[in-house]
Amino acid sequence: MRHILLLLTTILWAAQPAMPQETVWKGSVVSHATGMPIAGAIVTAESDARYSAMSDTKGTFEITLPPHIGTLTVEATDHKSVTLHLPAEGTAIKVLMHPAIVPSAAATALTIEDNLATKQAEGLRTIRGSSNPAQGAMLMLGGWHSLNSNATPLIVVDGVVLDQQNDRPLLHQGYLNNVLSAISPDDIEKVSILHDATALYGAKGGGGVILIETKRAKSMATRIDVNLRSGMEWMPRLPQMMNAAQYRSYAADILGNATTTPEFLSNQTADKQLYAMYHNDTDWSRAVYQKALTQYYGINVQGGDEIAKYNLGINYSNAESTLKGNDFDRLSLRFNTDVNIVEPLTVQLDVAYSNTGRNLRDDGIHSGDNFAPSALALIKSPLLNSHMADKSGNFTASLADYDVFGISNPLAIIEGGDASNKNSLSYNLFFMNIRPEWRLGKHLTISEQVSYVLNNVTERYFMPDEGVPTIVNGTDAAINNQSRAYSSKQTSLMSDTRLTWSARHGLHRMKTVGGVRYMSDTYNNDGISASNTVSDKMPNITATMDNRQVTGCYEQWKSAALYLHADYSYTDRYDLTASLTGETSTRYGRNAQGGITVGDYVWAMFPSLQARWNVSAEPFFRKTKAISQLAITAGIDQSGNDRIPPYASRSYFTTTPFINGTAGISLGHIGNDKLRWETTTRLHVGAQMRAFEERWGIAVKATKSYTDNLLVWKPLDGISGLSRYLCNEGQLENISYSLHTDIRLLSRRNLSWDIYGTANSYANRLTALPEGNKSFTTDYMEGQLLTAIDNPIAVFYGYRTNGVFATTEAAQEAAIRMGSERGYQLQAGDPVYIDTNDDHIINEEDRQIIGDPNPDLFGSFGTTLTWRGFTFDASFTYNIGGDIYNYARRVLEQGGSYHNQTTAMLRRWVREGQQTDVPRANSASKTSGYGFTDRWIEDGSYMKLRSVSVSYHKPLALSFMQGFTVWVAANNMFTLTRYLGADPEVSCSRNALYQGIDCGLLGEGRSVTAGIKINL
Amino acid sequence: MKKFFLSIFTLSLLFTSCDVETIDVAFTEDHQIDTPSDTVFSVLGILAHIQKVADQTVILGEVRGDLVQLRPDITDEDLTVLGNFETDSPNKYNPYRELYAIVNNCNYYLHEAPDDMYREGENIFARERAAVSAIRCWSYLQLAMNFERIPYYTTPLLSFSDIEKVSGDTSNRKSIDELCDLLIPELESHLNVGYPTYGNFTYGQDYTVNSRKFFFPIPLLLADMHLWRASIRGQEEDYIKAAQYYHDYLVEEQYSVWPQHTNSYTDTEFITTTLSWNQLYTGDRYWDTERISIIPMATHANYGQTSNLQQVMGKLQGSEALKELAGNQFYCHVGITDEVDEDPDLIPSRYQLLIDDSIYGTKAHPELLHYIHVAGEPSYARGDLRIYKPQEQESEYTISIDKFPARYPHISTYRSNHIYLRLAEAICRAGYPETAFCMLKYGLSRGNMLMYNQKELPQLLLSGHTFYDFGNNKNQIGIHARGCGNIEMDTIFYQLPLELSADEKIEYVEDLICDELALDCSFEGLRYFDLMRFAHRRGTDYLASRIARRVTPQMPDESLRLKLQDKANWYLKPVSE
Repeated sequence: MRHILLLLTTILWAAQPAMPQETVWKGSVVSHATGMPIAGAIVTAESDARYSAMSDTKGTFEITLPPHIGTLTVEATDHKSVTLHLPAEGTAIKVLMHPAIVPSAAATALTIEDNLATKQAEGLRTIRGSSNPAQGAMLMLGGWHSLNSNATPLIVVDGVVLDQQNDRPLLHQGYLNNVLSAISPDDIEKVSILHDATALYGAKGGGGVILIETKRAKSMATRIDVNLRSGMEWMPRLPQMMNAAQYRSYAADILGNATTTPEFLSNQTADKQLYAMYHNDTDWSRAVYQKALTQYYGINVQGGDEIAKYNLGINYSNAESTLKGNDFDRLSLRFNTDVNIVEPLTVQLDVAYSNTGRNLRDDGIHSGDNFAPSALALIKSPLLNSHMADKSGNFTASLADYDVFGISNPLAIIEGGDASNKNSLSYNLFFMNIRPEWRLGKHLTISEQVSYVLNNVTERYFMPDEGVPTIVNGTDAAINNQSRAYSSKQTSLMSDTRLTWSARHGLHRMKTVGGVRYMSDTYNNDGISASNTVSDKMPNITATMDNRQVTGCYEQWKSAALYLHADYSYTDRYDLTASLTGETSTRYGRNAQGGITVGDYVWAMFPSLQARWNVSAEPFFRKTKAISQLAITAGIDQSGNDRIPPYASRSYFTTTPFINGTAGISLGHIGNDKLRWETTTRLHVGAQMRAFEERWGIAVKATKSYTDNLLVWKPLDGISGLSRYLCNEGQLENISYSLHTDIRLLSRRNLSWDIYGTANSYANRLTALPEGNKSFTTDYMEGQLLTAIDNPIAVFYGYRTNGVFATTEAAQEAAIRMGSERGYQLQAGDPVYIDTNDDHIINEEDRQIIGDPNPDLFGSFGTTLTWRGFTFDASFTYNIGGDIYNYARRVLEQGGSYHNQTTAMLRRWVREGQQTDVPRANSASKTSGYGFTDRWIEDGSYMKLRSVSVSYHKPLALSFMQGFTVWVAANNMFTLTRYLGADPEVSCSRNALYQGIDCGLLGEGRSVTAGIKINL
Repeated sequence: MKKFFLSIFTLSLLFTSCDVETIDVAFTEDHQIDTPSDTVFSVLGILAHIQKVADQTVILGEVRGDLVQLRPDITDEDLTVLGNFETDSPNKYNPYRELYAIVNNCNYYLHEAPDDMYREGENIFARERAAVSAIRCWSYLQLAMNFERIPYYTTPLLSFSDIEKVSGDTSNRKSIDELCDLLIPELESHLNVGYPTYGNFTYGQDYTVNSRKFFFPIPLLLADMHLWRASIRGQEEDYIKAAQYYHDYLVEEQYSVWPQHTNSYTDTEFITTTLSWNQLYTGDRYWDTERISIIPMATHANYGQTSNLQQVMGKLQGSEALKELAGNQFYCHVGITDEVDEDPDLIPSRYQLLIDDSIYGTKAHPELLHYIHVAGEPSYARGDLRIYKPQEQESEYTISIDKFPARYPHISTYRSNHIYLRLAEAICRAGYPETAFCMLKYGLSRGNMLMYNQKELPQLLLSGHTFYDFGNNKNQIGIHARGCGNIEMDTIFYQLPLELSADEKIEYVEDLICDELALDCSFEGLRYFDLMRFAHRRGTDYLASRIARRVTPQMPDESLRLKLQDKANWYLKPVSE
């Protein structure tokens, strides 16, 4: 560090420039649409606001500039800002400005991820898993940078790190708490994505950083915006399930050679009640899905005076889910102020509170017992009815109990679980941020930011008795109904003290920031579950209930960082940014290697060096007319990931239950005292250009990153009595590219038309694993994911098949057994597994990589057209390549039980000689383990019309209203894909190792929303 | 700290969430155990780890033996692989890591709990230290029996460097006899200390068990170790020591081969039976009479850890070899005589009356000696009723034992009849095969010895040993009688041939003991280790040939037999992951 400072000082003073010779430049600002001059345009030297001018009524201006200035920015009302280089010496500056596109007022997003998912830009991959309202998304920036630790970008809201709680368990299957759902997108001013140069965020920036800035008052004038909207979403695309006739034939197939016809297949019964019970053709999806209404009411007020400015945002959202029983509402309040207390002292004081309430039911499907209404609606036999029949065969108002196959009535779960003390989640976020700043002189400022964030979740879960079979689980008491309660609380304190020094000296500009950041977090959760309440009406847990289990944890962690950041510019052309952050954390081991040890603490060091060359500001570029702006950036930086389990580095004892509630204490963990942060080193190069009279803009970037000291599990020697431990013995690499381009197709007086597109790609490769690069597999949703050297992390690893044995003869000739030489021998109608080693046994050795969940390319494109007050906007997202493990389909085409199947099973093998790709339906298919085969891997490519909207803005000059905008938007109108599942956007975990798996969470339906925005 | 522990105890909360990051974390540097209220939790922690390994130890001892086979309709690759001695495959029943978890926690306890703290003249931790020492010894024996040469260490491993030091040191690898050299002196120092007293534990609704049974009796561990060492090294003094420890414990704790626990026919047609031996495992009344020590299990997850043995054993059935063995036994029935005036319809067998004082003793000195003698003519039926029970038709027999009933989920680590048979094994090898035979046929009491062991008794009286002397124990019958009726009156099938040499006699009786272990202790998880011990004395084929006969007694599996001729194949591989 000392060397860098010395170097900078030397450069600064060695240059010792003479007073620059200033030149007067003349120029004009003209509208591209009309050719008419633009008056009142402000022309400023890009790097030095002291040099500026304003165009007169003829659009002309004169600006005096020192010779090192090469770039100007021009801003004018209703026009798109321009940045351009100076022309050849002696030539007049000609500024052509395009009319600004009025952005569409359509705003349908409930959370920021909804917006990010539409953009898919700057290397940020946003995968929305469940389409339940405000459920968020899996975020990933430029590849995977961690296996077992947090792989998502750091979220920083107004300078405050927000813990996303990605690894926290909740009660409802298929639901992940989304911390960002507490922030209304209407309160957000700006989102910046930091892929590189995240060293300032030290051991927390390894996965990239997303900076969110909330709205602040821009001027003292009072502005009131009222936002109202309402929308409707239709149910999503669902798998095509068999109807009653098809199911009958299938069930008979499953039944096999039974001597008696079971009641559910019998047509002979004289019992009317029985007949009514089993002679239906029920579309169960009607019982669980609905058209979902969304409402939003928001008001934003800003204003103030010379002493204090404020921005107040209050909004309320209420969104039904298309899946019944999963509704969402949010009340959000955010009050940001900027107060000038005395001349050199200003204070930002921000307070935000948000309360999110949800109904919840389990979502997603699996091959065991299903209690998610969405899953039940798929697997439940269409022969049955949701209501009971009376003796005359007429259906009553009473809900049917679970069926003859032991499958619950989904409607009973929805209705019987409906109460605020049954299936609900309440999430509160309180956020307070105080940032005083004191100007100590012309060059020096000291500031202190103190924040407090309180994160509080309470959840209730209830599985009713009525309509649900009694569950027998091991030696637990039989479960008639089940009640669970959970609460968690996290408090985060942060203090960030920084000293800023900025100065300008001749051709040099410099700004240095030094500071210290301290963060302290405590997290605890408590959960209780018990079975068999007095009745379904009384879900509260009491001491007399069966199978009571209590869980809970308490964690505390702290970290401190010292940072120094320096920006240096020489003329307009060369920018250099260097930074160095040292960070220590209670999560590191005491003897962690690779940092600097001071006293008891190990400090990880994260340097960064970034350079920007403003090529278009170079004198040699001045004759270039086609390109108005060109810059090249490059940099190298290091950041880390300190999301190590809080106590992984220490040895400790834990309790083990013994007999009747007593518990013993025994050694639970042997800590790795050398455990350290993961380190990601990034090299990047990029370029930004605008050309052809500002019509075309393009930005490209390539980044190569190396992650060392990857946290990986390693087996402990058995003599320890413990199984595994975390160590830092892995490495991986990512290479990623991103491109953004926009083109102004039309610029007319009342008509402007833009198109844009983004393209991103990344390739991930593991380069080192412990134990001599020993690969490992992880199991998820009955599939296996291979993490092996020279491959991307967690690729699908299973069996390849080649159709189905059409004849017994073919099967016998192949003579293939499953598992071992004692295993089941494949028969006609079974899949033809590829026996890679030709040993006639299909076992682990025959597994191959059968899919890679990472896409080749993803991004978005769209268009915006403005005509008079109208704005038409359409945006598409796309994903090319990338496989999906369609687990949901695997469950629905298992062919081994009386669960209803998709119509693909109509093609199943049923007779000798039949050529088909779908194996036979037989209960043996489960025990013989058709298993994780390429049958379940599908191409996840898609293109989606994410949103299309029209908005109309009408300015008014009324005393009580300045204008209004009305709009209508349609989302997710169509998706082009060959993927067979509900939605090719799949993610059911925030863990990097479990991506690209469709576990049957709610897909997105089409929706239409209309709104009005009133400016008062 | 104490407050923290107490809160766990009183609240009885089982924190399991957050993976390893639980509230019940006590960092090693904070976890001092120097008061009884602290140490009790450490001991309970160790006991909880024993629970985790209990099923495995039983399965390993049974599935690899010759007494069970997998039901034809069951596929369980792990059980199959174990039974076929495919020892390289990872297996969920491999207990290596869990056994060392017990060892390491015992090491921690023994390292931390003071051995010199006294209150009112009593060493506060002596009982717990003895109990923990015995647990560690048991764990090491399990390890050595399953893994041959195993790392032996006595300091707690609390860090990586500790682990590396032990795993890198090959000089600490011990075989079972070497372990015995180290562990015998250690346990001897804890003899006669007594058990920790934690009171009764409720393991199911209305069921409790006393903590005393949770601990391994030190004399029995010592006896086992002498027996193992003797079997490997052949030293007679080890057999004698083993016999003496077994004997002293049985006498002191008053365990007998109770006549109540017999299966017998209640009619002379050999059709209907009383199966009171089975009640040893299923009935309230007899429950604790033979269980010396147990690994306590809950009936129900509500009450703590449960055992899966019932399910696993349900996948197994008695092997054809066991059926053949049982079928080759002869039940001996002696009809009612005039000596006792009983209604013959009520008590058709004289054997039923052995518990009655009136038929004991010699006429000359009825107050001194009791021996079993029943006048009358014996008649015979095939089969041993411990294994076979007749169904409606005599020709159909099934295994009648359920040794892991849901209501009594505990897993016994020592049962008195095991100990009697091991005592017989030790006595036989100590050079007194007829005395050992006496145990099988008549039961050890002074009366029976005088009556039936006239050849060896004088030698024994001169030897100064007392391991054969059970005084005037009236409750002692021949072990074989439990399934074979009035076996003491068997003059045809259960006899010691006269023409045998001394060594042959030892082997003959040893074979009978081996068979008796099969008939009395099948499904209890002891068989494989018993065979191993016998094979150390008798050669590897002793084990190999028996296991090879398991499924097809008439056509032994020669490849399996060949495989098991190599001792290396007897053992599991330590798990590396």
